[in-house]
Amino acid sequence: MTDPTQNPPAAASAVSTAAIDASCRWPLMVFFGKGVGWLMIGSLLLLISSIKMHGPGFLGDTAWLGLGRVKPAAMTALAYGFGVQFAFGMLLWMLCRLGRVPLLNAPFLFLAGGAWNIGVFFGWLGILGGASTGHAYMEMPRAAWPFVFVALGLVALWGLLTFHNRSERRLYVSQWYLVAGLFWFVWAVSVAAYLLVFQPVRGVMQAVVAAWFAHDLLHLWLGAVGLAALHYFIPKLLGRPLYSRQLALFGFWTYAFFAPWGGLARLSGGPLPAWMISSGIASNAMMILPLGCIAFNLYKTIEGDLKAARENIIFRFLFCGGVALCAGWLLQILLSFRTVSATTAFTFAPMAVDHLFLLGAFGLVGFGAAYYIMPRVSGIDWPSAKLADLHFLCSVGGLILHVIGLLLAGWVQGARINNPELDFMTAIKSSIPMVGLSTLALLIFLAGQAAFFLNTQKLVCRWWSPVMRECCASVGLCRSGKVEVES
Amino acid sequence: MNSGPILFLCAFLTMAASFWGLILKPYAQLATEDLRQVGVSKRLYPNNTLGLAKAGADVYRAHGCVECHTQQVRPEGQGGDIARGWGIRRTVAQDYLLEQPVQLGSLRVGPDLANVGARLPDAQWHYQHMYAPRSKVPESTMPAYKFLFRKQPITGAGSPDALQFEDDFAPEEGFEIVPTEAARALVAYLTSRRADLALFEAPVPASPDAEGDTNAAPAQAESITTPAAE
Repeated sequence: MTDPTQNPPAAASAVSTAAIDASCRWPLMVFFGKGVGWLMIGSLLLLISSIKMHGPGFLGDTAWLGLGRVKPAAMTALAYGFGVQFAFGMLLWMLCRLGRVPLLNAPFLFLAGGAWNIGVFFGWLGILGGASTGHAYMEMPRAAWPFVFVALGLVALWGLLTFHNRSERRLYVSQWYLVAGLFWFVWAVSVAAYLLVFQPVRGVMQAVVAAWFAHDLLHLWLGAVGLAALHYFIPKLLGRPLYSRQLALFGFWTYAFFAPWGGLARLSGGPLPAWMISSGIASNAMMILPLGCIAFNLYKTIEGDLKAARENIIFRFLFCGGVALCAGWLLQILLSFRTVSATTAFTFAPMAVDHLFLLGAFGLVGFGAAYYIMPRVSGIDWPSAKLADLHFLCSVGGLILHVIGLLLAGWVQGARINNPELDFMTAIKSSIPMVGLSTLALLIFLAGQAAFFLNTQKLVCRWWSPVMRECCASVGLCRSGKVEVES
Repeated sequence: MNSGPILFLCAFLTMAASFWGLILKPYAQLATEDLRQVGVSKRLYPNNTLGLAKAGADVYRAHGCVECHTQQVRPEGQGGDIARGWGIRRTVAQDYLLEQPVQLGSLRVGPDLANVGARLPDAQWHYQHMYAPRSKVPESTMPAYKFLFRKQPITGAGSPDALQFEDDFAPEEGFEIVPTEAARALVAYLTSRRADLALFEAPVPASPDAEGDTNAAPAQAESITTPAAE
């Protein structure tokens, strides 16, 4: 047996992994099940918004399907409906498994799942209805937030208690990211909701808070959970310890030190004192340190086993997610330099990087984690391996094309808009073919998510129908499970 | 690192530093900004946007115009905003003091709107453009906001607010297009957009070729009499 601090703990413990998985069943099935639904909605709306970029007449007759509403609705569905919900599921499950402790009083978390979905649904409807706050990643109107905070409070409390009650006292790398990420997210979202939605601050301070929060959501919460999952699953799937705990420790500390400072680089060129934007640029550049460490450490862990591991779809998702993370950070660093951002600011390029982080660095890792976790907590195998393969191909292929399309479009758009000789429409028109490419890519991506959705629905139905039968039988609605099957 | 408390301390300190540096410090600096008396007339800047234009800001927010339009002019030497005629000076924090919400925007699929009121002051142009963007900009990719207008049969001499169209974009015989309250508000907001007053931290360059620029209304280009505290 390897040193447990070097490796995610294996089955041999007082509490069996099966018991831990069973304890997580109800809340996790909600988080992952509903998360996939939001992923589907978000991808569809993102596709619609992309079509509207070059076909302004498409679905243009109603206010609630206007581009300015569909786009934030898509991002809210993807970030809050899919992203945060998947992150909740991954967080709780990894904390239970790593701490070798079952999830206590899971029904309360089931409530949290319900509250979160109600809140996000209200927020999403509000955006389509015109009640958006107008701040990116914080668009959900006031009515949504009480539900969101109840849910977040419950998840945070349960996460903490689970962490506190852990029977394995030594901490694994993933736990650092999970606990810190949870703490960071609660802090960031509370501050941002208060200063943007409930007691809006005056003037450009709003933009500062919104940029700080968007960065925190993507990197300190979703990014941290993604990193935790990479550090957890890669050694686990390969059955070998993490290459170096010291390197991971250095990576974590530098990540925690630099990542929280990058937010204001998003406001490059904005009406703010220069030092604010410079702080973001400098800290983004320093992110090369943690990312280099983390990537080297994980690469050394994988080295030699890559060929064999490629057979495993979960590993493929995680590997591509890790590559997306590295690519995303390299692009983010590049785009934040002033010489580059003079061209790329206010173009599709920064949007491409955001999508790469949300759907690639977090999304692909989250898909991999879901493929691992869902069968274990439900006790039902994935119904179709073909659908899973399709999901992988379409997600990765679609995402690569989407990001490349938007980056090229952004570069052309930025360079031409900066040339005052060119008419504005000429400049925009020249970027449209590339935006078209990204529309096509989003169609592919959506097809992949549809496969995932179908597969998940089948799994949930297989898990749900016996559960329902048992419930019905216990309250006397039907005589026994068998009758149902025969009818 | 095997201790929970140390982990928490780490998470707390790193976030507290970021909160201090990126929220509290900017807040302390930006909160000192207040309305300033500008120019010879000593009027307060920014103007308190009242009435219809203020309602228009809400329409702008509700329809998510910010998804495609920025409202910020970058300084000379960073991009070509000023050369393109989107403003005569960079925008600064003072310009946004009374905005709610502040809609800086992060994508330019449409032109910047920080000075659209100075560039295109004609409300009728905006109505027509809002109703049928391609009637004004032939290959525009802006969606038509037809739902902000009412089509009604012409009675008597017709509504004085009816949109005047040339050729293709006009409604069928006997009907006219009139803006709704939301469209009026939005256009009032757009035509009120201008950030071209000379400020201490953002002077208006006195270049001779700025003479003919629609943004350079001579009465506006006054220098500030009460410079900022810093």
